[in-house]
Amino acid sequence: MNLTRYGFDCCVGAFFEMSTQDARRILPAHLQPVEIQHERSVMAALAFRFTESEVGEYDELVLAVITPPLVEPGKPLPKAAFFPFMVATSTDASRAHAIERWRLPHHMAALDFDFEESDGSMRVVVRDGEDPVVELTVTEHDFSPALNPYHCFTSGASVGGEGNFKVNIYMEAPHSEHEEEEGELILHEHPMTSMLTLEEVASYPFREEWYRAGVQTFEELETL
Amino acid sequence: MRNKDALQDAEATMDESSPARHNRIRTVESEESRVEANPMDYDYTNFYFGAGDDPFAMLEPFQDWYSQVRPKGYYQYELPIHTAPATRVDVEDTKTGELRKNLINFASYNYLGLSYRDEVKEAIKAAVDVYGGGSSGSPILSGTTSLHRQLSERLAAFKGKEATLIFPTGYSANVGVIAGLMRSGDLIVADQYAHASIVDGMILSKAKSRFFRHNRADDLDRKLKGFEGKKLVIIEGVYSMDGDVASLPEIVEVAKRHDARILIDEAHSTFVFGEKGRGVAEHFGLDDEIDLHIGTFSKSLGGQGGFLAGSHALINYIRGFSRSRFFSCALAPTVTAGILKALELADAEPELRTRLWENVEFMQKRLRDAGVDVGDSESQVIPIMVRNDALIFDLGEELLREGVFINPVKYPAVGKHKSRFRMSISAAHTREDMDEGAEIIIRVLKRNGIIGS
Repeated sequence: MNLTRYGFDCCVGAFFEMSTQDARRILPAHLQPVEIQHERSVMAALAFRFTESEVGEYDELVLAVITPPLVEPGKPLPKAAFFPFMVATSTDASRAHAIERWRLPHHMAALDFDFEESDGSMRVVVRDGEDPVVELTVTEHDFSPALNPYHCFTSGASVGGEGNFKVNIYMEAPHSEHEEEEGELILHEHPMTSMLTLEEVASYPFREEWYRAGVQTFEELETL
Repeated sequence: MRNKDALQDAEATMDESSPARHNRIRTVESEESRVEANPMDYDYTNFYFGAGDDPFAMLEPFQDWYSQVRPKGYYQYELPIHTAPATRVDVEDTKTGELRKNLINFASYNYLGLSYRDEVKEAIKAAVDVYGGGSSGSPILSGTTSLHRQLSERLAAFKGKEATLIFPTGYSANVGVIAGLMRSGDLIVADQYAHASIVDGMILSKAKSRFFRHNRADDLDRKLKGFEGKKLVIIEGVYSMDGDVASLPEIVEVAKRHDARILIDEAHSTFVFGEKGRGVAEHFGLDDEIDLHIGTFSKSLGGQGGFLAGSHALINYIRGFSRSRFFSCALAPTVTAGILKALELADAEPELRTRLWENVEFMQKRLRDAGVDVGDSESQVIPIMVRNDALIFDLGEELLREGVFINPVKYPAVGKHKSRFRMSISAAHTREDMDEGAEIIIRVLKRNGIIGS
């Protein structure tokens, strides 16, 4: 099996409650949202600062709905499963690469990223020109080495194609995770966020994750 | 441009200009076998949904996982107790097969120590002679006995309400009342830490559900704002995992401003809070501001069952629409007789509450002085915060071995890294019980670096 690797020096992410109505509208028919509470599903916001990849250095923001993983006997249990419904990157090449290889739906223009670390927190501001699009703050807990498997589901229909897919992703890096509800998410009106009812997305996370420098490894895209 | 035809566009870009075609970065052969999952990193949430069309598809992966994690700590749930839930209990250690005797019990709800009082046991024995075992019918058909009527009336007098309605469990009380009152198109807003029975009642009601941030009246205000129609706000008196108390004055103010009705679940606060022991609503002088008062018999009264207290009109309506009640068998007359006697004792012996609060104060101070993190507890429910998900079961095993019976709580029952032991204090605990128990707990926490030595 061919593996595709992306080196990063920072990945922060957090899980926020969103309306199940939105989650169901976003997901393809074969996937269902994980509900953390009745009528409350989960949206993940993830920001990466990639330092090494087939398409060079770039920054990336992923907005995803959390879905149940595809648990299979004899296979590693995934830590979580995602259906990314909107991705933004800082370069045209990285965007083209992710659409072509992983069928990830993108905002079709490069955005600007600021990663600012201070006092145990990382604040990521994604801008379209002067206008802020997403402001994500994630706070740290104890870091320990981790190799965490995830499932990522994608749909050809999201990028004008066909078929449904899954790819196994492994995150290998010092990892911090907690549920202290200390981070923050501010979503602004923008094509990136147009699939969401913004007032229904919680501004505070129920889980925050932070990976220090490490490697993200993709297995091959599987057709479902 | 959005994503329409983005794939074709991307393919064109990749063909023409992407460095990917040179494959200059690492695309290497498979090494999938290097991933070794640690079973203790997973929990029940990982097994909620399964792939494929067979509902049994998840059984094998779950069984594989459970057989690995059970001996590592999950066995600490459902340990059989061989005695009454008194302050000292004999507990079967299902890992070693030993019967661990005379453990100090900080796990049972028996807040007033009533479940094994001689008067209660005598009342139960007397009821057996008259009524036999079960009630053999729904409460609306043949299951209501004269004991149920007496309990209902006595409880209404205790709560200072016109009437009460008795349910077979606390769970069915919340489910039946909420789903019996609210309808599709209505709005229910509950505290995010609301008990599962409240959430299930919300689901069954088909009303629109929202949750406000724990104890935050400002967030409740946001969640109620702009909704036109019937609204119900749901809170608990004392929250069962943290032992903190509802910020009732602020919540009542917001709810009233939005013309919302208020339901309070006083499962852990009835017979504990308030001058007469009616609960947190009485404690804050807001008893009459609350529309629906729910409680249980399984906590302070040491029995089983739940109740709703309120106006005659409310009780009559809910009686007709609470499916969890009238499609269940009524409380067993023996249990009802025990509760009736326990209620009589709780009412007649306010010194039980006084003793409970002295014990709470003693234990909270003892733990805090030793540097134990007990969170925001203001009640007889005291979380002993460990905040180490990997260690909590090992600590539980040590405590069991050294003489303390107390329940570990970890994700997903509480947030990640918010693992804790949930301590329940009873009026029946002696100073010696508490001193010895605290000493063991502090010793184990120190030994494992949870608190400083």
